[in-house]
Amino acid sequence: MDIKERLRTFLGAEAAGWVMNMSHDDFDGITELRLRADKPMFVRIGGEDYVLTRRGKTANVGFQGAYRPSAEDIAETMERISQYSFYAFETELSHGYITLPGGHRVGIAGQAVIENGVVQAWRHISSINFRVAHSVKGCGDEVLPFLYENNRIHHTMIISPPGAGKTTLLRDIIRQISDGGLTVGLVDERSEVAGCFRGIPQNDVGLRTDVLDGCPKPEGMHMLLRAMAPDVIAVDELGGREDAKAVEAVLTAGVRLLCTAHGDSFEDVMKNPGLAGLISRKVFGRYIVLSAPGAKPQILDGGGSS
Amino acid sequence: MFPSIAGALALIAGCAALGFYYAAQEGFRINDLQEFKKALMILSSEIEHLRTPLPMAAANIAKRTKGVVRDIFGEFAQLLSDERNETAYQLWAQALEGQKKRAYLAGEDWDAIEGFGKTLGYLDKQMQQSAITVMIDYINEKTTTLQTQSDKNRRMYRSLGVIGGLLLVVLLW
Repeated sequence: MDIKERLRTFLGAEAAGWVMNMSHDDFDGITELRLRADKPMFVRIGGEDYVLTRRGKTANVGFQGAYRPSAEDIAETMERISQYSFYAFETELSHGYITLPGGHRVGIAGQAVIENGVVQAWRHISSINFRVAHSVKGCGDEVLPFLYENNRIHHTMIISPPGAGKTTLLRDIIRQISDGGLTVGLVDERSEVAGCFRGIPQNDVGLRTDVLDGCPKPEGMHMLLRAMAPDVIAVDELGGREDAKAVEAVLTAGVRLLCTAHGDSFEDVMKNPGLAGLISRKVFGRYIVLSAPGAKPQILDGGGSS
Repeated sequence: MFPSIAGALALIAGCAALGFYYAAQEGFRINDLQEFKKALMILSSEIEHLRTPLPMAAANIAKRTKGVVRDIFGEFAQLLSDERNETAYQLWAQALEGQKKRAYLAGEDWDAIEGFGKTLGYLDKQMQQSAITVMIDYINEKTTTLQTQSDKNRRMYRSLGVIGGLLLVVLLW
């Protein structure tokens, strides 16, 4: 199923009708769809925002005839996203997002229901943000040779701000090293890397990759070490202190770590209290910095020098 | 003479059968309601313990129920899985449409069942369970009333069938 058809299945009837007016080529570069109640729906293609018209899309975001989803359109889209089963996704929704088959992530905003200081449910959802996952096979070709030394892969961290492609790059590196002969254990807490549906990866993450889908990163790393004998453990969006503790266990077990972290630069990640200790001890042998969507990756050594 | 007696006996038997059929109808309606209650209890369990998504839960219900209820949930599961851009309620109404003539349920039962469909698709666990409880309460109340009525009506319909048959024979003789 291509991206266009896949997105159609996730949208309510009205929203799907407008989105399907766009040309097939538009869907190849689509990275985001944003629905807000009574506001124009935005589509981000190649880093540019567009609104939807009867004939397709326009970059004139003030266009009067643009599609404005109603509260009912948002509710209908939520029904489709949750497979008509809001109750089945309460845990994910309490974190503010659902991951869809294919690894697409849907963020939500609206009126939260709080119990004991924790989000329990959502009564009125007013905004939906689809982040469209793209598998770009071969996007890791450029960086992969720099990750090896003496036939052994370095502990590697991919650094980028949201939407700049770190998950896409991580996925391709995992695929390539797995197909190349290494056993990879992937802790896919948000189901974005492998895009598992009913436990089976929908994205190509390689022949020798075992996926712990929906599992918290610290527990997942420990479980993989104990049970799956990986050569490499891969995790997306490392950040918290608990994550850092689990990383220590990986390091002492002789397993290589491949991970990503949010940040604009190496210096930015240094400010993360959970990661600063690991970085200052030069645990990672390589950093790949993606500063913006489509930007050339910058490769740094363990000291942060290019 | 023999054909006349045979005809009279056939008439009495026919009318009696009609009476027995009407007497049994409320029982059939109770059976359909009870089967629907069973489906709701399975749904409740799937939601509470397994968080099974609705398409799969409906398919599981279809496997564990029978008759018209099995067919409703089987059709509903299929429609939900077809990836149409329709709401759960629209698909529920479509699943019911084909079965209305087959079941023994009354108009008020169908209204309640169709209304239940309006709660599907967008509620959190607690609210979905409440909606299921309301529907089960309706079925419990309705079956209790029907069972009380049914005992009286069963005797009445059977007697009416036999007596009606005899009366027709006397009138036509």
